[in-house]
This record gives sequence, structure tokens and C-alpha cells, in this order.
Amino acid sequence: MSLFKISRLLFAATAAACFAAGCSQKPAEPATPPDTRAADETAIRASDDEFAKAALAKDLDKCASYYADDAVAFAPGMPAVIGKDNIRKFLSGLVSSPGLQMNIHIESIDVARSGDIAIDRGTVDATTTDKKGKASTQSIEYVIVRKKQTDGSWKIVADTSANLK
Amino acid sequence: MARGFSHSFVISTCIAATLAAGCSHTQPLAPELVDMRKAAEDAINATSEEFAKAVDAKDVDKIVSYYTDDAVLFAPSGPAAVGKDALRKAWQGFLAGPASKIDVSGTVIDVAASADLAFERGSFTNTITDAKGKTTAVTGKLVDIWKKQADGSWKIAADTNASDK
Repeated sequence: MSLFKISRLLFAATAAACFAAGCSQKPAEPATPPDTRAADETAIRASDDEFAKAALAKDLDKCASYYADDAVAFAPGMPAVIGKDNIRKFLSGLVSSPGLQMNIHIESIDVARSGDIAIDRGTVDATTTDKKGKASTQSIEYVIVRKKQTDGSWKIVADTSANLK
Repeated sequence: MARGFSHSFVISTCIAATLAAGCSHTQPLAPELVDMRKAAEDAINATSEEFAKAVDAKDVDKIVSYYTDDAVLFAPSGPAAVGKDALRKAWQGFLAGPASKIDVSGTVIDVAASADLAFERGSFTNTITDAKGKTTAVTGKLVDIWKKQADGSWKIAADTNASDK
């Protein structure tokens, strides 16, 4: 075997080896993350829906499960609520409101291109009934910040609202 | 001697060729994303400083210029201000009231990996001086949502606040 042939064999073998060593753990194409925004928006709409159902069913555990551990909540006429334990107490007040009915109108859902942060905005008409059975409706504007969790679910990190009037 | 030279030449050529051909587009993505987020955070902090100066100068036009057209403002009390006209009125009302000095502290900014959306959490102290020179401090928490604009600037889409008590 001539030196030339040996060199060609070595070239092929070394090229294969260094290709495998240098590139095996990396993607072959530039990494453009998939655009998940449409699916994220669908998931968030479903999550809003489930939350409303859980609140009407007075399912406190379920309602609290939509919030991140370090979440904050700003509700009309109330001091800032910080952390999951306090959020739970706040939600407990919400779900025990007599005759509670909630109509959520989502105005917009803005998902970051990277699908990790989303803003959900809209209005809620919350109707409660007093001891005499008289219903009153409070209309609020809300802005909710959600973060995608490692398991792909979305959790609320900030739930802010104010009365519309 | 000749053979040794030949081998090392072949190997180094092939490594260079392989790296150039196979690996040039496969740099790890993460450091780039960290850099984008850091740059976004710096830009938001710089904008916040300008915003604070506009508030100190009671420059309503300048203040509202930092909000998106459809932005919302939830003050610690009072109804929601929705849209730029309502925001302008809310700020005019605030600035016409007792002398206030707003200090923001402990802010944490979470930027989406795509650096198009961010939210900021923090605390505020509003020191109010009445006509007799008596000061009262109101403390609270804030959540601001920032959106990157087509021109690369960052604007506030939601400015939400709640008092601590």
C-alpha cells in the first residue's frame, strides 16, 4: 500500500472520527425554537375556563393549583397578597362568596415568541348574592401574568385587577 | 519524518474542514438567549429611570409616552385606567394632588427567552407631603408588564399596584 493510499484512508477515518466527536451532541441545524404560541393560547383559555368552574364548584385546592408558589395577587380594595398560602386565603374568600357567578371575557392573550411568559387580559363580571338574596355585580379589569412550568403547564405568577368604575 | 508530517497535516486539515463544514451553525443557543435577556433587562431599567424623571418633572406627555396605546394602570385605589386617554387623566389627577415622591425598590425583571415580553415585580414607597408639610408614606407592591416595540424600545402595557395594608 502506497503512502498516498494510507493517507487517503487515514483522512476518511479521521474525518469520520472527528465529525462524530465534534458534532454528535449538537443539532445539525441552527436551533430555531418551535412557535408554540397558538397552542399556548388554547391552553391558557382552557385554564381560565377550568379555574372559573373550580371557583363555582368551591374547589379551593383546584383554584390554588393554578398559582405559582411565589405568585402575587392584587384585587380591588385589598392589600397585595403575596405567596401561595396567602393566595389560598384570598381564594378561599372568593369561592365562599354567596351565590358566586363569574363571567370572564378574555380580551387578549399575548404569548412571548419563546412560549415561556404569557399575559392574559380581560374583564370579569362577578355576581354575588347578599343575605337577603339580592344580587350585585362587580365588573373588574384584570391582567394575569403566567409562566410556563417545566412540565409544560402554565401557572399564574401575578393576578392583578381593579374595578372598572 | 515524512510520514509523521503527512499524518499530522491530514488530521489537522480534516479537523479544520469538519469543524467549518459540520459545526459552524451549531453554537449552543443558551448564551445568546442569556445575552438577549440581559440586554432587555438593562433597556427596561434605563427606561424606568427615564420614566421616574418624567414623573418627578410632572411631564404628563413624557409619562404617557412610556405606555402602549392600550395600556392599563391599576393604582392602589380607584378604578382601572384603560387606554392612553384614561391613563393621561389618571396621571394628571395624581400629579395635581398632594406632593408625592415615588421610590421603587427591590425590582426583579423576568424577560421571556425571546426578549419580546417581560414583567417586573417590586416594591414602592409613595411619600406624600400635605399642605402643612406633614409627610405620610404609603408602601405597596407593583407588577409591570413590558412589551418590546417594533422600534426596539420597551413600553409599559400594564402598570399594576397594590398597597401593603
